[in-house]
Amino acid sequence: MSLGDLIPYEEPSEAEWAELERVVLDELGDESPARPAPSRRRATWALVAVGLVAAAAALWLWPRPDPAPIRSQTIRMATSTAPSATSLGEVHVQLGPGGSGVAVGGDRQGWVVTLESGRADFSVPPRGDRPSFVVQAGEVRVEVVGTRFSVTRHPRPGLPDRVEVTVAHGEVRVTSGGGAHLLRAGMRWSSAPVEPAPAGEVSREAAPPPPSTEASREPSRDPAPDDATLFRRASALESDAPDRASRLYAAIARRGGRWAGAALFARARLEHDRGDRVLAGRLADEYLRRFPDGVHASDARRLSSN
Amino acid sequence: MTSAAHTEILARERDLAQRCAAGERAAQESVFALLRIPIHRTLHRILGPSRHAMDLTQDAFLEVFRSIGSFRGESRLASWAEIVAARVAYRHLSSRPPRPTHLSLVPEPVDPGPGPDRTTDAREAIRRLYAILDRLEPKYRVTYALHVIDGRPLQEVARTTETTYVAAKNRAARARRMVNERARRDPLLRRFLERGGETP
Repeated sequence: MSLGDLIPYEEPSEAEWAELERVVLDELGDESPARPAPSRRRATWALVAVGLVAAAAALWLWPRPDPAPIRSQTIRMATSTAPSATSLGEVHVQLGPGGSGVAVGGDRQGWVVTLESGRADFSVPPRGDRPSFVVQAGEVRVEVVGTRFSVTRHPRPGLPDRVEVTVAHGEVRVTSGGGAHLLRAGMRWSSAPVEPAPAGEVSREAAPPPPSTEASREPSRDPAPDDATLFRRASALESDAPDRASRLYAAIARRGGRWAGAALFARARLEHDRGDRVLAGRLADEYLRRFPDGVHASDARRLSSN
Repeated sequence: MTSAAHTEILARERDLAQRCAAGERAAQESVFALLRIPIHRTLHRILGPSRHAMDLTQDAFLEVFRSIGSFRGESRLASWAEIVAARVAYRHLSSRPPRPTHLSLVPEPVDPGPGPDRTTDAREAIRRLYAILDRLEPKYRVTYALHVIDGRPLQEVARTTETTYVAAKNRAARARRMVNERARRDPLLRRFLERGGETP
């Protein structure tokens, strides 16, 4: 027997693998092409300007091409012990601990999210002329009219999964077993449970609206707590693992929440401190483009001109 | 495995690597599925049961994907990825703040005597073993983990750690000496190492 035989290998769960694969492949997809050298910067800008003028002229003179083909994206979502937030175009999704699901679609053709397990909270802008947004949890289909709501799927071996839908704002249409239910703000629906339902739960029918506060009726637009935690984690990683800190800042900046500006600038500063002035300059430029009046604008200008 | 079958596998993996380097998403997913265990297992062996293994698996995969264009197909893709993973672990260990080097200054572990069962003892012994490895220089730790714990031949360890056979052999011997010296004063760890074929 060797020493290795006595040390058990603990393989991560499928959900952890799925999350890691998503992060790695997304990061590969996001990687930008090679950056220009600083000495060529001015020449590059001139070329870009000439190119833009030529492109504008071509667009004005040329007949309009056929629309670009609509491409679907597939986004896998999985969490272990901590919740995770994802954006599907304008839709904000927060997946609770131990959850997993797959989103397929795009902004032009609409999204279908298949919830495999766990709880997911959705914040969906009113549909109007927008394409549909659908959540499928087992046999239960939730079609969104424009709202903020959550869907929870409880897998039960040998039994149909129990699915709960709670609407915080707006309305959704739930279809299950041939029946359809329109749920409005404050209503909750649950598929028929085989075992006794928890106290206060109403099956198959829309529950009477529970007392709701003004705060719960406000549209959700604050992903800050999540991003704030990530930002703190990135700050703590700066000294020991600057690569990971930089990647974390990049992810926060990409998500476009309230911490995006701070993360973008922090990454620019970090790269500057690490000696990559070209990348720092590029990030500072991006900061100034996205947040021209941001609190770090003057510092970003200094980084940009370095 | 016959030589022809081995050659065919190498050719298939070389083709997969090339498609992956060209940015083909399906190939990237296949490579991820193929390499996830070899990479994670290598890191797990070097780092022990630690939360860093998963973080570093991410770093190792990014490095694999960025450099997969240089994979020549002279060895299995998994062996090549294990080398990348070992380098990532080595860099991680080297970049940490320095640890105390004098093992004599580290408090003696207390042997609680026979535990309620062997599993509990083994878990505690593993923790103590990695606590000792945590205080070794990265080159000794990586060599010990790959050669003594994982049982890989020294030639392979030398290739993985980018050193000569003789240097790898010396590192393994020195790492063994340092771990064993410590284990001699810790009955629980000594019993554990003896069960694994070591003689502290």
